[in-house]
Amino acid sequence: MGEVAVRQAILHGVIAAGFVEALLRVWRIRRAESRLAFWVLALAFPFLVLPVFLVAAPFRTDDAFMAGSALFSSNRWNAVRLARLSVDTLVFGILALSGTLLFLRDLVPFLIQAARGHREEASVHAAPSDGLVPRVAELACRAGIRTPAVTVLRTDASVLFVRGLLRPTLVLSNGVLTQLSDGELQAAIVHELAHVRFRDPLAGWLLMAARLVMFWNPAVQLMSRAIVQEMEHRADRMAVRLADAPGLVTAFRTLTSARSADRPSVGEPRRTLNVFAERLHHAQMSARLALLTERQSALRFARTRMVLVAATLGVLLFFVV
Amino acid sequence: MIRTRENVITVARPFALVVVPTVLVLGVLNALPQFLGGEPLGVIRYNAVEDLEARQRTALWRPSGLPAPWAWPPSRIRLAVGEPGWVEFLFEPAGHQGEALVVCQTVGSAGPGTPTRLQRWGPGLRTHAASEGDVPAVLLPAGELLQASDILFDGRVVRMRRLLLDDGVIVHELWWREATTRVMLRLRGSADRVPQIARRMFGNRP
Repeated sequence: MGEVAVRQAILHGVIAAGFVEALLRVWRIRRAESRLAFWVLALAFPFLVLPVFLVAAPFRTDDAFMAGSALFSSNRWNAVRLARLSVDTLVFGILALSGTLLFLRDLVPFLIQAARGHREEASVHAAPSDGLVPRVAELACRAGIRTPAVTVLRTDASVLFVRGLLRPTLVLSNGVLTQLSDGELQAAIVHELAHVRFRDPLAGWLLMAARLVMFWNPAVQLMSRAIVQEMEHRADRMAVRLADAPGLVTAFRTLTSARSADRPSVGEPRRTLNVFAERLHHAQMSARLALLTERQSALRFARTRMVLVAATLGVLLFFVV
Repeated sequence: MIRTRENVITVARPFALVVVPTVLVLGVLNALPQFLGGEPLGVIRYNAVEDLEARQRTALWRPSGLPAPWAWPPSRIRLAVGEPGWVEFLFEPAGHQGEALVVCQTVGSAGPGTPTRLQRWGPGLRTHAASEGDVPAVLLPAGELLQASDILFDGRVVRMRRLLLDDGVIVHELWWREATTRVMLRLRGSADRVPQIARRMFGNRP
């Protein structure tokens, strides 16, 4: 049963991810909020829908269903051999290995930087400069949230993030305060406050837990990354709306070049999101910057589309074992 | 809600462009193994008889003995799902010298209630997998029935059949019943050997 569940989780994850990615393209959905909703829906299939299938419809794993009724049954590839190994064992082995590597690729740097960051952060706190806290308060008011605590790190490294699940804290370094102009700093702070508003630190931890639970599932790893990316885009959009787009663009460029110069920076939980952002390929970063200035209209019939996708994927994956 | 036809097309056409290829790809991937040395649709191969019994939650009939050159366990174990399902054991002779012996049996609802329909068939009648009692063609190739007769053998009624397969080979079959299970033995070559082999197999192996 365990192996069957693992295989189906991989299969369902891969199909759900491919299905949603294709739909995002053919429906030309660019808006981060909508894309995020679709990715979360896709992620629900291996985590929530599959357990329901396994409990409520145990006959799906019977031979009669797999050989007779299933649209796709992975164990049909069991009899096909490649170098004395059955193809299904080979394929699922490769998929599980790639999922594990994807997970470790993000987990190991995260743990190393978190350990290093805790040591550095404990000894280099500085008092916030005059005017910084009122400025953050004003921006928080504009973003519609309570003013978070502000912590300044006495380091020239470029550090800017929010942390804390219940009591959010905006952490920034002297390096950021000196490297960014007023407009850039305002845009960058609003970006981080947007993460607070949307509870992204909590979402980041939940995603990390999901990735840990299904560390072997490459689709879960990729979908989690996509979700993090969309959360960043969503924060970008809010920063553009409440601050100014050129400021955010130049702030990105300044911070990205500074980070690549003084990496590694201090570590902390929320940085999981920043780690992803830092690693975006240059082309992806360009695409992200392009999105900042793009006019994005709300998705029409969003709820209908979500229901359609959920129902179709549900029926489809019921017959995939 | 989507109200106008134009809006329906805006949403539905791209959606269909994703759904249809997805279903097609999954269907093709499901059918592909049979062309790559795998099993046809509706047939499952197992590595051991115990695996099959565990999956089907049933105990299979096992021959009480096998004459040389064949020996337990079977070299190929397959199940054709259905009502009833059919299990095929393929026994290859030691060193692969000589002909293979095929033994099939029912699993599932081929109990005493299922009529055996012992009747004589004339030569030239074509057998079909769909006909009652036959082993599905996806498991064993069907053939042209040349001769069939019901005989009393070792105190039980058995059916002897002679078939011409599509590849021109003539095979002999012996059908009998072990408790609630229907059993069929198929062998190429001389018809005389079939009852002798079957006699060694009658009864349940402990």
